[in-house]
Amino acid sequence: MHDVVSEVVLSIRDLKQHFAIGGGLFSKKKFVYAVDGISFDVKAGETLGLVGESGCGKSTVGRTLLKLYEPTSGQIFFEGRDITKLGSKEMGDLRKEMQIIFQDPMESLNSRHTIGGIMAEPFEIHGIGTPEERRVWVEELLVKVGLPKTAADRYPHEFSGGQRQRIGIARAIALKPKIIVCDEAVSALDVSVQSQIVNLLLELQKEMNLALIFIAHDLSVVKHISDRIAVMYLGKVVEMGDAETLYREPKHPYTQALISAIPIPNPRHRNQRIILQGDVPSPMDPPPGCHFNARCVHATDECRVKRPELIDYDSQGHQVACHLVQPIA
Amino acid sequence: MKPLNTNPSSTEPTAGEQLGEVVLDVRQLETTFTTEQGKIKVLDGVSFQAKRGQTIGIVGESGCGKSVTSLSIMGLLPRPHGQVTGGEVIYKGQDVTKLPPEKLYEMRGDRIAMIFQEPMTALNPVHTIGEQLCEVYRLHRPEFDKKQRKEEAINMLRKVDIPAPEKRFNVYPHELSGGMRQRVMIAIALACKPDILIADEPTTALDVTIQAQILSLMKELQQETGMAIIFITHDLGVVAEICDEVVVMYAGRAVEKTNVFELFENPRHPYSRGLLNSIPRLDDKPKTRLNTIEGSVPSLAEMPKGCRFYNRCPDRQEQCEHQTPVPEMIANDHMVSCLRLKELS
Ligand SMILES: Nc1ncnc2c1ncn2[C@@H]1O[C@H](COP(=O)(O)OP(=O)(O)OP(=O)(O)O)[C@@H](O)[C@H]1O
Ligand SMILES: Nc1ncnc2c1ncn2[C@@H]1O[C@H](COP(=O)(O)OP(=O)(O)OP(=O)(O)O)[C@@H](O)[C@H]1O
Ligand code: SF4
Ligand SMILES: [Mg+2]
Ligand SMILES: [Mg+2]
Repeated sequence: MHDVVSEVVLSIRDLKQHFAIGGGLFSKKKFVYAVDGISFDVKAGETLGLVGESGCGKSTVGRTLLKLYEPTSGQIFFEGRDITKLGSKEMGDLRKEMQIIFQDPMESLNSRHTIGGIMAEPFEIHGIGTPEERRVWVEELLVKVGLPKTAADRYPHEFSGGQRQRIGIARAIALKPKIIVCDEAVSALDVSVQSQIVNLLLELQKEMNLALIFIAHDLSVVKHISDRIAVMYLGKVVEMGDAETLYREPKHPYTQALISAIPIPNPRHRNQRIILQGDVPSPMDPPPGCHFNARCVHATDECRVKRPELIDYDSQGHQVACHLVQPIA
Repeated sequence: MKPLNTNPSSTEPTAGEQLGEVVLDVRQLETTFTTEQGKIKVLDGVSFQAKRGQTIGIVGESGCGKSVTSLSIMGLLPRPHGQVTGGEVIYKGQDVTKLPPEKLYEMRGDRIAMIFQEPMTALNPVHTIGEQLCEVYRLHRPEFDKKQRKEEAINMLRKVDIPAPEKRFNVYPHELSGGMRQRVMIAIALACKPDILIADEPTTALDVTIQAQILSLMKELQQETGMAIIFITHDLGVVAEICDEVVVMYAGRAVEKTNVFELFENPRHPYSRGLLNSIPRLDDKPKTRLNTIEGSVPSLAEMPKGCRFYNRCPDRQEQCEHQTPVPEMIANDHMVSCLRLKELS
């Protein structure tokens, strides 16, 4: 790889997001431990994939590190600067550098505005350029994401899901961000269109040296696009490492089950699944010990009482949180 | 190559119950919606057979007509604007699309049952799951008394691996996880031991680990009861996992139909090939370009006149723009509908 890839764009340390719920006159306040002590770094030009079952906290990590939510505790560093405590005013210009793309970017947008109007917004908000300049930039952006310039004069409902996601991406890259969180950005698309969008993201990443945090429940797509992957379970990272290694030699029993459950598009590969029993426990009252113990076939007495720490499994950045996994020397 | 025979004698109902016996024969099904833009043929000649003890998959991109196919079979098209306008669906010698509503109502949930993607919309939030299961028996098994209904209901909950079924009998749908709700839906669907189960994206909303549980449960129950499953999905991984045969649909038409091994190892329609090529695979080189099919599915109003795949097809030629391909059998169980089939082999 080339050397520009090495600089860390974003780091989080022991990040926590506990949502308080209830706590009315008659009920005791409870907490959802949505994100419960997560640390990682993302470098320029690198994709970190976030996987795990519904409700494990992937979106919350994404939103908290962009400071769309105030973190409960922990730290967020952007290009080495601690931004955890910055207020919305101080965040102002930093917002340009950090973007997010959702499953359907158009859902939240005003359907009565043209694409050109919607896409000029980021420039307007930050007071960049004249209307004429903005129009030129919008057209350039549309071409960059593979749409005709004329798209600027049309309305969101005139576009297919894949085209709308292209527009969402164009909007996200408009202000030349350093990092984009893609939260299920390709999940609603059909496979033939999904692959177009994945290609587009890969191209833009290369060209702009973008850091990406890629959240998705389709594990084959995540593997394809990620350099490193963090596997989450109930608000914690249970395993993290280089994408290739993690899929080839998963160490955590949960990662093993998750990867084994991926339906492989080859009918000669049937009946080789590890089938996990039961559901994910509630993040409102996570079980004592290892969060995964109730569904883990290897669980011992220790696993039911003592919480395993995320430790370095090797010197290549492969980390695992399981009592049964010993680091290799 | 012989043209597709639309009325093969082998599909006449046979006596006895053998695996592989045809239980539902969908022939040249055509469904039309009346919309503001006029009449739109949403299904245009879809044919397949559901066989005892086997699973036939219907796969294709969003909007290609998978759900409309199942609604047409079940007689659940939105009235009055959705209508079966051609073809037939033969079950036990009768065309179910021509049955009077009462007859259809009797059959639904009894001989032919259905499960959907989002169990929450199909389950009634104000009744316990036990009540909802008992209701199925009240409708279709009037000879059961209250005690029998409850017994059978708990039996079904046990059969779909719901832990502590006696207790769960009394809970409401919202108290269950997504996976548990889908199990309840399966219990309700299978309560009367149907001959045919239509499953419309039953695992799409679930996590992969829960999906693996549900797929394995469905296979187990199929082995036990010999029901035919029509499995609708857009996920080719799931198709490979659970289907015996597959119909690939594109824009309302069946473009290829064959057994699952043939589809994955020798796909013949340019769309099937494109679809299979564009799935990211675990053994791919990371961060490389994926294969794609250019463009997207045209809206029904802008549909190409000839082959509907024309504007996206890498193999298209002039003739494809105006000429409509007809289904051809290239082997006993392999149908392809493409004008360039001969040149592309
Ligand atoms: N604003 C909020 N207030 C209270 N609880 C929340 C809030 N946002 C998320 N949660 C809870 O936090 C947990 C983590 O949710 P999150 O959306 O981050 O999960 P996820 O991994 O993104 O799941 P999915 O795959 O379904 O998108 C869930 O239990 C969720 O119900
Ligand atoms: N009630 C309706 N009125 C008019 N058109 C309809 C109606 N229901 C479906 N359609 C149209 O019929 C076509 C087929 O829809 P269908 O729901 O069968 O697609 P599908 O293959 O199930 O897609 P998905 O994968 O998104 O579920 C679509 O073009 C859709 O817009
Ligand atoms: S008929 Fe023509 S356009 Fe249609 S799939 Fe075949 S080659 Fe492509
Ligand atoms: Mg999420
Ligand atoms: Mg559908």
